[in-house]
Amino acid sequence: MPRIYLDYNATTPVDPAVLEEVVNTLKNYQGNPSSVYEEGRAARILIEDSRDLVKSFLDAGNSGEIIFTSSGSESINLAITGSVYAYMKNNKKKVPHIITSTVEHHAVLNTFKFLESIGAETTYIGVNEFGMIDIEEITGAIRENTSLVSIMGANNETGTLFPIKQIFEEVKKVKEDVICHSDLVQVIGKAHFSLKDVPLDMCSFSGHKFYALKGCGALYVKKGVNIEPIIHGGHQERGLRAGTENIAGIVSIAKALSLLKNIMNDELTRINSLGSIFHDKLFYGIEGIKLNGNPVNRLKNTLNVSFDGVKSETLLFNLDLYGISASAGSACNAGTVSLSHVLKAHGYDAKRIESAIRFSIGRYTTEDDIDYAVSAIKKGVLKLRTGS
Amino acid sequence: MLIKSNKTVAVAMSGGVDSSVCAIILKKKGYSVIGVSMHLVSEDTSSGSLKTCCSTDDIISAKRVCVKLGIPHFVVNLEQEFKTEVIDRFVMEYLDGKTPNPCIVCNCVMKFDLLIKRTKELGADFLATGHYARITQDTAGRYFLLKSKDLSKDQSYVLYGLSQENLKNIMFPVGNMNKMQTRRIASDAGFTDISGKKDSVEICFVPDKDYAGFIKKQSAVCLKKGFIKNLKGEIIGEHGGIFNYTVGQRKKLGVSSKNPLYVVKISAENNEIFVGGIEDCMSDSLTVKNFNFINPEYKNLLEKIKTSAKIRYSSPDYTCKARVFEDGSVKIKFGEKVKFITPGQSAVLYSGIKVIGGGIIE
Repeated sequence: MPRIYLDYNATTPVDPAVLEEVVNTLKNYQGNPSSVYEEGRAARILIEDSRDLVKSFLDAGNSGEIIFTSSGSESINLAITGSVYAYMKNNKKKVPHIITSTVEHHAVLNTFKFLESIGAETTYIGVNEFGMIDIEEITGAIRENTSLVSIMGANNETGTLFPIKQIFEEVKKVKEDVICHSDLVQVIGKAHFSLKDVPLDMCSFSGHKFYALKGCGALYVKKGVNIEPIIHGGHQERGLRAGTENIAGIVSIAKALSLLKNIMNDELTRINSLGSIFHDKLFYGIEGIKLNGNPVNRLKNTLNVSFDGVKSETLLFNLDLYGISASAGSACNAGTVSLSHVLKAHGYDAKRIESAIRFSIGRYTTEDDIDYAVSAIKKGVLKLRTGS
Repeated sequence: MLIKSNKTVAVAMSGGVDSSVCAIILKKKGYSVIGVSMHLVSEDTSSGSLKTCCSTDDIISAKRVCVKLGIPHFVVNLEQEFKTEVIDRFVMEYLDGKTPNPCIVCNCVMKFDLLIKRTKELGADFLATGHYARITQDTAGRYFLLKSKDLSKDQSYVLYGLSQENLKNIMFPVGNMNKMQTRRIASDAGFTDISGKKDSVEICFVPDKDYAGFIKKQSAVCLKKGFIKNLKGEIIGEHGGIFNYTVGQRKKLGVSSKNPLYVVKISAENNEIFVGGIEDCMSDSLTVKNFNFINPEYKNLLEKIKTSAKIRYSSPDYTCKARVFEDGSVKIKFGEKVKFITPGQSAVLYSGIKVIGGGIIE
């Protein structure tokens, strides 16, 4: 049976051009980048060239501001924990206070929970039913000891876009030295982004969300922003991330971003219009469905939809049997579907949350895929509603 | 023996050898097979000792088997249902002075009611499990539940709650095999890692067999101290909560005596434990409320047929007479005196290898 992949927010397939570059790297660059001889130099330069490409994609000030990590989660952990450690080190008598939203990815929320357990103070800002955050609520939460605000660029489950430019501008107006971090894991590759537009101190992202390899990520740390490492050892990544570099992963990020830079305008136009077609066909074809999150300010590749009277777990399993890959909430490694904390934070009733499914499209999705998917979703939903 | 079938069978997969072999056999027979595992308990990373059939490791084992067989595998989240139907009931029964067997509810409610409903929604016509038991059908279309061919592995005891409607949609593919055969099928199919897995015997959600510790964690009210009395009603000691005791218990009574003492009775109302000698633990009858008849017509046949009963999972078959009352309860009278009839455990009635039904001992 052909498979139709509608879960690009979970991960993306590796672009063939990226794959070629990765294979080439694995074959030809076997040295340790820290070694002083020829093989080491070659690998080192490959990494530094990659860093330059990432820097220019983000419009960062200089290449030293890019730190390669193993994942979006590691980047986020390093950014948040690293800055809290630095604050504690420099302000021995003070307790750091950090702020985030209730709809962040678990990488952020569970890092906050960890920091609470070692004494940090935390504030979680909620959202309304359209996933919108009240900027004044964020600025109002800032205290004398607030050291960091972390707000995501786009929500992974609903696609809702946050006005991070305004949010962080306002935060800086209230307290200049608050470190502003954004989880951009869902933004890079799905929307235009430049550090020239958004005054960020740090931002995190992950390679496999934009057609690079899994197991590699990056963190931007603005020059002058002080963070402590969370992995100790060698001097790699300016001493902020010990461990021999994942050369092929780093190359995959650079290659994927260079590709993206060239095709971004066309790709986003195509995906956005396909996303709108998907939305319209779904809402025209099936009664009793609701769009979750923000109907306007959202990544158009993402559709988070609740189907009245249908259990999302059962619908997902049925869709899998029809050849369609989609998701609900966040899945643990064994594959259990649990209720979405993001939709709970929107204040939706249990029925709406229990019946929500996320579809997310990307580079290789076609209109035929959408047509097949809509008819399969319709078939599944009607079957489960009639119970036959 | 290829059955070209367009029927779909969901296999409840625990990650163990029996259920994996079910999937292997059914796939070979030509059914369209879907693997399903239940997620029942969230793993508490701090304890780490939880060994449920539904732990992440076991789910991964099940998933590995399915991927190797090229069939889908789904994890059905029944955590909330497991808590209300199994764990909470288990705790309440214990606090009520009973000694429940949660595996009975888990099988009848979790698997053959809730899970089967979910698998129907996936288009499955049948649910297969790795139980050692057999289902047959007579010419009139009636279903019967039988002990497994390998009597040493028989699990029909935990299945007495099934109905005709249930049996219509259930398969026990290993019920006709012995454990050796099952293990061989697994290793022949290349699943050497699971073919040698040990059978699970513990109550899955209670870590390290520590029931009392588990109950204590669940409920604060249980710590109420009370008296230990002999059967004359004399106070001979004190206890730290009736949940620490089960009928027939001999160790850790905290009372000294020339002859060994056993828990004879637990009175939840008065918060008292009664102890006595082994002869006081013998009884020749018991009553079961809400007896489930697998074949309802046996209600009228009960007094005409030869019957035997098991009073706990591992008990022998005791020859007995059974009588059904109008309120649906069944009184079982044994041919001899039987040791340790325990309220909360289940009594299951057999006619030869046929399961007539069962219920919870009063």
